[in-house]
Amino acid sequence: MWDFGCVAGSVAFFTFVVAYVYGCDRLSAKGKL
Amino acid sequence: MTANGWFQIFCFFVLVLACAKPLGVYMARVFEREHTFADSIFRPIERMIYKITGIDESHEMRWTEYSVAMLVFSLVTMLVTYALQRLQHPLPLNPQHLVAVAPDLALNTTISFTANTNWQSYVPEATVSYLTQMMGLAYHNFFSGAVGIAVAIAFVRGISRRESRTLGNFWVDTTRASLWVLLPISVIGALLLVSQGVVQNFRPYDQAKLVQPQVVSTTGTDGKTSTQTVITQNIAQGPAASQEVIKMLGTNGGGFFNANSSHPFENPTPFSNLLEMFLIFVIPAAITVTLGRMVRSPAHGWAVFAAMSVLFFAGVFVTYYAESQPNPLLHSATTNVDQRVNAMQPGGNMEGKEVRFGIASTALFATVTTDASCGAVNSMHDSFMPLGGMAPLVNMMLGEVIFGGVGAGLYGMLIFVVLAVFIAGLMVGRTPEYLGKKIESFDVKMAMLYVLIFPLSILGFTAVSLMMPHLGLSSLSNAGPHGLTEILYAYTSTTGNNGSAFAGLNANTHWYNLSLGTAMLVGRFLMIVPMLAVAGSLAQKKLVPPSQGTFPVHTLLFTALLVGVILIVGALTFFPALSLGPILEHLLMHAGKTF
Repeated sequence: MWDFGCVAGSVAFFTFVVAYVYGCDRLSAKGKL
Repeated sequence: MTANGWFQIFCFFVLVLACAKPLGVYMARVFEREHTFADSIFRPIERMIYKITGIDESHEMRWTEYSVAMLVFSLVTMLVTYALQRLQHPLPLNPQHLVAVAPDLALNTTISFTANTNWQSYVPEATVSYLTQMMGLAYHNFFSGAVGIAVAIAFVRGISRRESRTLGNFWVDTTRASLWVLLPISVIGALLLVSQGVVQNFRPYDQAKLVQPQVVSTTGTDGKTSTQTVITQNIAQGPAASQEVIKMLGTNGGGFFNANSSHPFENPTPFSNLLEMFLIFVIPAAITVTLGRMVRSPAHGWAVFAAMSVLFFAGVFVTYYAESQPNPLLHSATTNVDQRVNAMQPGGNMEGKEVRFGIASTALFATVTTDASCGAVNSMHDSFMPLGGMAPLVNMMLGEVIFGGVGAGLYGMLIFVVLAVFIAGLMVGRTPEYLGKKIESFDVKMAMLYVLIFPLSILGFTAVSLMMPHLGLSSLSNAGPHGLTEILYAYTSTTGNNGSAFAGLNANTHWYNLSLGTAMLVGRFLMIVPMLAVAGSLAQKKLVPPSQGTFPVHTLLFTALLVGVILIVGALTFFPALSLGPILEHLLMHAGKTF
């Protein structure tokens, strides 16, 4: 259970950071940042 | 403080200064793919790596692709290291038959090494096998350092390129950083460490019979105290030298042994102590020369170096001064202990210090390791005087930009350069420019995001730990301001990707393993992204010709402004927390109270 949580948590964090990268890029392209 | 002590400090600095230019020029040539003396050795190996892995050397990446490549690489290597720790018991190179690492501890450790932090909530010699140390942890020591260098080089390209959408290739930069820079210096450094007596073997631990048996009291889970006579001692050993060198060179800091660089098998002699400090600083110092060369303004690189040096000397002065002062509590009428410097004793506060190194080398090591986000220690920072312990904490709170981690120090400093140039532009009423690039709204917003994430993590996690006693205070050894400093130091060290511990806090609990792990992830990856966004934005800009309103970034005034911006941002953010921690402890110590 712990192993699943640790792996899922890590993947979730990195997915969030990838979304953060593209979010910053999209907002800046639209001139909203 | 003694003249001998300052002589040692200046010798160390001169050694770093002397090596900064040749190494910095070499790194610039490596990353610009110009001819170097090592081409005949490394170029064929590099080509072979690209052929095997299918990397297209000529492919250029936008900042988004560069970021995602870095994130995917970090996630995959992180999961492999987690699996290695959880499965170490049936795997080879485990002569002590160590069991699998607990899941929360394994997660904390794998994040720690991936994020170039090397915070250690575990006792290495009693927790991780030789295989885990070599394949999991030493692997990250190389590649987390290489990632830091690659990202810094991408930022420098953002400054130097004109009207370009790309920053280079992450896979190529990481390969070059590890193969051309980290690996050759590590081989030479490891041999030098072995020559000093650092161990390098695969033997099981030896057992020695104690000359004087020790009686040890232990309290069981039922609260009952029992005594035991210990007559033997385990002598831990292993492949330490090969990991010690990259631990320092990659500004990682995770000790092969729990006592880190105060352990005689990791740091046996004054020369090995000097070598280890030199290895910590040499790449962060040299990369300022790389910056100057790649942006075609060597004087700018030296101006950044000068700003780092000013802050370094300020830190080492405060630590050395505080530690060389006598402890006022030992000067009372009843305990009038002689604490002066004389032929028989070094004077000052020797608690928690190695007598082999003394106060000057200890103060220097503490400053170097916290300036450079390394985190290796040759003393216990918890045993420093309150202001002596505050100096390493402040070094980290300034954003790990005083030389800083390999690569990480430079890109952190360049964010402050962007802010300094922006502030200078506001003061003279002109559009801020940095080396011919206009600093605009997006750049400043991203720079501020970078600057704000750091204290948000440190102060936020510290506050939550203090407000939930069953989670944050239950494993704390000291009360009052000293206890606050211990928690504040832990989150500063992890968010700053430093990894040194103040001690006094048992961080191997579910709460601390998970929250410190999160702080390390935030301090590494959430800060790299806005920095790369600034780099991508700068790369696209046109070059503006210098005018009367251009703020020169190679002058003494620029260095002074840069130092001022760093100090003001750090002081405004952290002074309230520091005043409740080490500053209050210092005042209470003079009033006769300790914690």
